[in-house]
Amino acid sequence: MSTGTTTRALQSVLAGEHATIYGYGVAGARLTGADRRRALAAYDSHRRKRDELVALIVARGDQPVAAASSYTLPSAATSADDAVVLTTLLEERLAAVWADGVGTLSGSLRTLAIGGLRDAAVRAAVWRGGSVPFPGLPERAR
Amino acid sequence: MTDARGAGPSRRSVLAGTGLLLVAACTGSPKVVVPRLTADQRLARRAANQITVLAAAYAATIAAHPTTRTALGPLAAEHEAHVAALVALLPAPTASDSPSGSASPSGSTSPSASAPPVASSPAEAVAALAAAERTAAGRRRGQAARAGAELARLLASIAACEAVHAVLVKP
Repeated sequence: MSTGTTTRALQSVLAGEHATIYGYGVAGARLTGADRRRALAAYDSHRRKRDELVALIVARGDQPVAAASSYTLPSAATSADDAVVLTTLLEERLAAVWADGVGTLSGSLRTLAIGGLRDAAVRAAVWRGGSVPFPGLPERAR
Repeated sequence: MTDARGAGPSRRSVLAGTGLLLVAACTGSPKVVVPRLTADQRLARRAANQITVLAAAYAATIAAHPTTRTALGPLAAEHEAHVAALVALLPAPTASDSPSGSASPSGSTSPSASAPPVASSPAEAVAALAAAERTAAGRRRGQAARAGAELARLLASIAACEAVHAVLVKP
């Protein structure tokens, strides 16, 4: 695999983490109690993952993609229920980005992507309250 | 594939199919053409066989403790979908042109012979499934690390699903 392909894959998941962090900021404002605590924990996890990706990209001698000032969200969040739908969609979308990274990356970076997919899938399932057979693979979604 | 659950082969047919390959490979039977599998196909077959065992554990648990059916049934169906997706990557064993060449899988091992034991306590039985899911997810992650790009993506998704099950399956 060319280094360009690897860098593009890392930038892609970094951009996905940026967008997810933004979305949690919006959703978190609508949540209370245990859901809010869960959203804050997820927000922190995504920020750590973002920092890890930034460090990896810098170590490769590349410029990490910056966060946008705003993102188009997969759903509106005008109520707490909406916010839970949004966090579910955020994690599902991110799972797909990580899944594509699994296919593109190799070695320890693929292992990172496998873990990123798993983490997003588990968080999506907790928000959703149920499982889907192929997390991160929209072409196999029912 | 739009709906692996509906279109997939049954667990029995999967076991019969893989058994058939093994029998043919051992006896050199002229009636069956044994396709040569790629490394990814061997990986997919191994994963499918492991998941078939996991699905059998679900079936045995549901049979022993029917009150678990509502919670476990949908998860078991997801394992069946995983097996179907992996088996779809394998070449079907093709019988020779001879009319009498229809191969019988009677020599394959019987799935019922390996029905797994189930704890008498529902809570213990379900906890055992959660542990099996964790083991399965670890195996699948290892397989995803070794596979070619497309299979790796599928195996990593299956691994993620198994990790989700390990969280959701609670007494």
